[in-house]
Amino acid sequence: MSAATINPVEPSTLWHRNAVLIQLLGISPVLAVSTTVVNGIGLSTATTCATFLCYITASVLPRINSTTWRLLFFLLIIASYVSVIDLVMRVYFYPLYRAIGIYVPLICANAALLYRMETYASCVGSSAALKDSVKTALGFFWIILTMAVLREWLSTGSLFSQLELLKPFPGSSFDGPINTEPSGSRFRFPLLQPGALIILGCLVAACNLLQKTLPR
Amino acid sequence: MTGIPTTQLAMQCSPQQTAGRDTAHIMRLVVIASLPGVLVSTWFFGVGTLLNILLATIAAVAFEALSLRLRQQPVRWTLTDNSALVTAVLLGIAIPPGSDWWLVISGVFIAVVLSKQVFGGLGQNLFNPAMCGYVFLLLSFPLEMTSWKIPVAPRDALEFNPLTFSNLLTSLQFTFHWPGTGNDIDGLAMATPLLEQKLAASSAILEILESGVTPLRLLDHESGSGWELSNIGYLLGGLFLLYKRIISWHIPLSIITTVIALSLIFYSENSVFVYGSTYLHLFGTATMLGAFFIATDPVSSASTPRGKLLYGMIIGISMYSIRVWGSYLDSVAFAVLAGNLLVPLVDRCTLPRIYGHSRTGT
Amino acid sequence: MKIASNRDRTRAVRSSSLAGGIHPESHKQHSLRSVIMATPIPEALIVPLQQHQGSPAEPLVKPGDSVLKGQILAKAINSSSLPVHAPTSGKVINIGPYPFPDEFGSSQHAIELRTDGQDQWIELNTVDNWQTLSPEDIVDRIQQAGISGLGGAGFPAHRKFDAKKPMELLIINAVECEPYITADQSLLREFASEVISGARILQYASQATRCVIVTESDKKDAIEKLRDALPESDLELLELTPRYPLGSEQQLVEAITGQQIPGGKHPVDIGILVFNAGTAKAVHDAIELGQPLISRVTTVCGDSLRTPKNFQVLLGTPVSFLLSLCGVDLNQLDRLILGGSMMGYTLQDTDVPVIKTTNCLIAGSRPEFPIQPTARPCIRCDFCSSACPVSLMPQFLYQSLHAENYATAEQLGLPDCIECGACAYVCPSNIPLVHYYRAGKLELLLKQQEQQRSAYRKERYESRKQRLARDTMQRRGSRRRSVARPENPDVSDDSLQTFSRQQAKIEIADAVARVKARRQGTDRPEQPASRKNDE
Repeated sequence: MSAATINPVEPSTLWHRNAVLIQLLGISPVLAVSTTVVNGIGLSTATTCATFLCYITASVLPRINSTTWRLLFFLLIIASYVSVIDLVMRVYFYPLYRAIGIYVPLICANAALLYRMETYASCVGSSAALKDSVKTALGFFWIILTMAVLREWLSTGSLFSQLELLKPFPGSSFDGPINTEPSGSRFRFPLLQPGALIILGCLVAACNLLQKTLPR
Repeated sequence: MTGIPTTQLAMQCSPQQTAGRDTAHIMRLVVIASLPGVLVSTWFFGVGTLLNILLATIAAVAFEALSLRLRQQPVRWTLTDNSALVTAVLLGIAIPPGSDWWLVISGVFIAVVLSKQVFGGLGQNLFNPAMCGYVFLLLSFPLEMTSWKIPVAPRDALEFNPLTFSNLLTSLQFTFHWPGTGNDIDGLAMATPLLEQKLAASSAILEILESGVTPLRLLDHESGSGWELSNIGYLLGGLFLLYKRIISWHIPLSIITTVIALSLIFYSENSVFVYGSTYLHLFGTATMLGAFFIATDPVSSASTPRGKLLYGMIIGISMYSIRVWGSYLDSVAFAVLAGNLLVPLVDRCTLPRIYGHSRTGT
Repeated sequence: MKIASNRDRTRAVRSSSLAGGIHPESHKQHSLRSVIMATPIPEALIVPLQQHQGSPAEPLVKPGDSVLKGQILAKAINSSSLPVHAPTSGKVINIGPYPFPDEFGSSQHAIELRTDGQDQWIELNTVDNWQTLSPEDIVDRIQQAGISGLGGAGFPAHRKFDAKKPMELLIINAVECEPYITADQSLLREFASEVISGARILQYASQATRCVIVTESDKKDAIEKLRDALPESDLELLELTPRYPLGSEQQLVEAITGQQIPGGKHPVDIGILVFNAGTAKAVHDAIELGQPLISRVTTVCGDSLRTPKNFQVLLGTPVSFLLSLCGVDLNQLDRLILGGSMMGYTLQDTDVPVIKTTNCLIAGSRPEFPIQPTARPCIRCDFCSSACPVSLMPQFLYQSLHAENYATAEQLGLPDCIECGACAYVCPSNIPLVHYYRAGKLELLLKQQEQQRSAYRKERYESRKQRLARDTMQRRGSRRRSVARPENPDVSDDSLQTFSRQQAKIEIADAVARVKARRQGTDRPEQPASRKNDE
C-alpha cells in the first residue's frame, strides 16, 4: 500500500467519531487512571503533549507511510516522545509521577494514537495534523474527565482530592507513600476495574442514546 | 364415506403429555426447601433475615418487571416463572440481617438487572445472579457486609431473645432508619458468626452435646449454636430437594466430598487455628447453603453428569482454598463464580458417550 | 454375547442400568378391562397400497372387481415391497388417493372396497407341517402374506432375514412400554400359544440359536398366560422392570444382552432379530393357517369414549367407525392421537383407515390432554439429559438447532435421536424438543441431498468442459494434417489449457520457420526449436 493510495480518514471530532466512546479505542488508560480527577487530568495532559508532538512529527516526516515498517517507525516516534514526557514528569512533577507514573508508558499502547497517526497524521500537512491532534487529545480528555468525576464522586463523595499533586516543583521533602486510591471511600465499587467498565458501558450507552435522539 | 363430523381437533407434536413439573413449580420448591434454614436463623438471630428476604423479593420483582418492560417482553407471564423470587431469597439469606435497605436493593439490582436481564433473561446468564449481587456488595461495602446487627432490648439484657415484638421494631429500625430513632438503637452488633469462629473455635453444638445437658438446650437463644443449626437446616432442605428430584446428587456430593477430603488432608491437631476441622468446614461455614442451593442453580452450572462432578470439585477446591489461604471467609460466592467461569469448557470436555458410539466418538 | 441364562425360565432383569428413561403414568387399566372384541364389518374399507417402509404395492385389481377375503389386491413389486390383501369380501370401488394416517395429513393411493357382509374367505394355501418347508420358503411365505412389523415401525418382516447369516438371538418384543397402548398385552392374554407358535416359526426361519420373549414385569396377566403356554416349547420368558422407552430396539437389546448396537447399524448386524409379538402371531396365522395379514389388534381408548377396549380390527377400517363403536362423546373429544401418548401424532381427519402399523387410537378430552403451554426459555436444568435413553444432550441439541447451527447438531448426535419424546416429557419449560429434532433432521437430510446434487452437477460440468476442449482439439487437429499431434485422451483441465497454449506456440514457431525457410529458398520445413514434447 503506497502513500498515494491511503486516503486520510475523517478528522476526528469531539463527539461524532470520538475515539473512546464511538470507536472504543484506547480504553485501557481511561480505565486505569480515572480513579480520581487529579490522576485523570495528569495523564490526559501527558497524552495531549504526546499526541501533539507525535502528529506533528508524523506529518512532517516524508514518505513514512510507504514503507512496510511504518508501524515500527510510528511506535518509535511515540516511544521517544513518551520517554521525554516521562522524564519531564519525573523531574518537575514528582508526586504526580509517583501516583500515575506507571501509566505514562502505557500511552505507547494507546491504540487511538497509533491508528490516527497511521491513517491521518502521516497523510496530511502539518497544520491539519496540529488541529487534529488538539481535537483528538481534547476528545480523550473530556472522556477521562467525565469518568474520573463520576468514579471519584460516587466512591468518595468529593472531587479534586489530592489537588496538590498537580503542582510543579514540589520541593525535595516529598517522600511519603502515595496512594492512588482516595481515602475515605464508602462505596468501593467504582474504584475497582469492574465498576470502571460498567461506568464506561453506561457512558457508551448514553452516547448512543443521545446520538439517536439528537438530530445531527 | 361418512366420518364423524369434528370441529377443529387439537394439533400437537409428540409427546402429547408432559410430566407437569414446570419451571415455576421447581423454583417454588427451591424456596420452600430453603425455609428450614431460614426459620432456624430467624429463631436465633431475629427477623433480620426475613426482612431482608421480603425487601429483596419486592425489589427483585420490581426490577425484573422494569427490565422486561424495557426489553419489550411479556412482563406478567415471565414473572410467573418465579426465578426472580429464588434470586431474591438466596440474596436475602446471604446479606447480613440488620443491613440497610439500600444495601439490599442495590444488591438485588446488580443480581437481577446486570447479571441476568442484561444477558438476555432467564437461561442466558453466565454467572449465578445471586452471587454476582453478593460479590458486588462484598467488594463495595466490605464493612457493612461483615457486621451482623441483632436486636437486643436493654430490658431483656438478662435474657437474650431476639424474637420479641420490641426487637421486631428494632430490626425494622436497623433496616429502615426511621427518623427520630437517632442513636437509641440498642443492638448487638457483631461480626459475622463466621469471623468469630475463624475456623479456630470448636463447634458449639458438639460442646453442648458433650457437656451432658439435654439436647433441647441447643435451641436456647444463648447457646451460640445458631449458625451451625441453621446450616443443618439448609442441609435438610437440600436433602428434600434431592428427594423431590429437583436437583441431581452430582454437584452437592462432589462439593461436600471435596471439602471433606481437603480438610482431612490438611487438618492436624497443631494447626487447628488455621485449617479448621472438617465439621467446622461443613457446618460452621456456608458450605451447605452453597452446595445445595447456590451451586446447583441450573442455568449457570454444568450440564453433563461428569461435568457436574468436575464442576463440584472445582467449587470445593476454590471454597476451601479461599477460606484457608485467602482473605475471604465467605468464599462460597467466589468459588461458585469461579466454577461458573469454567462451565462451558467443562461441558465441552465431558460430553457423554452416545449409545452405539465408541469412546472416541465415532 | 451373554444372555439371560436358560436355567430359570422366567427371570426378572433389572433394566435400571440403562441410560435415561422415564416412568410416565401408564393409563392402561381402562382398555384392559375387557377382552379383545372383533369389530363388525364396516360399509367400506380403504386399503392403502403402502402400509410399510419400502416401495408401494402394485394393484392387481381394477374398479368393479369382486374380491374375496384374503385375496391379493396388490402385488409386491420388488424385495422391499409387500403385497396387500382384501380384509373382507366385497367389491372394489375405486383406486386413488385417500387420506392416509400420518402426521402430515397426506393422501396416498389406496383401494376402496365396498363390503358385502358375507366375509367369504378365499381358498387358503395351508401346509400340514411347516417344519417340512425350508427357511427360505417360510421367509417367502411371510412376504407373500404381507407381514410387516406390527409394533409401529412397519419394516417388512422378510427383509430382516438373511440366509447367509444365522442369528444368535431372536427376541419377541412384548414390552409395550408406551402409555395407553395395550394391544400386545391383550393379545398375549388371549393368544399366548399362537404368539409362541409364531416365535418358533420365526426361530426356525432365522436359524436362531436362542429365542426369548420379553415383556414388562407389571403385565401380570400376560405373563401368567405365557407361563402356562410355555412348557410346550423351548423359549425363555424375560421380565424387565418397566420403564419408557424400553420397547425400542436399542434399549431392549442392551437390556437383554448388555451390548449396544453400533451407531447406524441394525440388530441383525450383531446377530439379533427383534420382532413384535403381534408380528409373531401374524406369522403363525400365515404359516399355520395360511391367512394373510388382514387384521390387527388395536387399542381404542381415551377419556371421551364410553367403552375403551381393544379391537381385532380389519385393516382399512376408518377411524370414525372405531370411535363410534366405543361410544365417543363429540363434545368431550378434543384430541385424536394415532399411537401412544409419547410418540403418537394428532389426527385431524377421522376418515383415515387403520393400517398395519396402527397400534393405538386415543380419543382424548381436554382435561386429559391439556394444550401445551407456551415454551419458556431453556433453564439448562438437565432433566432432559437424565431422561434421554441414547445418552444425548438434548439441551445442547436444542441450543444449536435454535441457532440453526446444523453442523454442530450433527456432531452432537442428532441423527442418533430415536424421537421417543422422553426429553420433551420432562422439560419444565415445555419446549417442544422433538419438534426441533425432527425439523433439524429434515434440514440435515436436505443439506445432504443438496450436497449430492451439487457434487453431481460439478461432475457433469467438468466432463462437459473436457468434452468441449477435446472437440476443439480435434477440429484443430484436422486442419493441420501435416503436423501430427499426439492426442492425450485423459488430460485434466489445466493440462488441456497448457496444451493448447503450447500448441499455439509450436504452431507459431512452425509458421515462422516455414516463412524463414521460404525466404531462404528451401522447401524443407525445419524442426522448430520451440517444439516441445508435451507428453
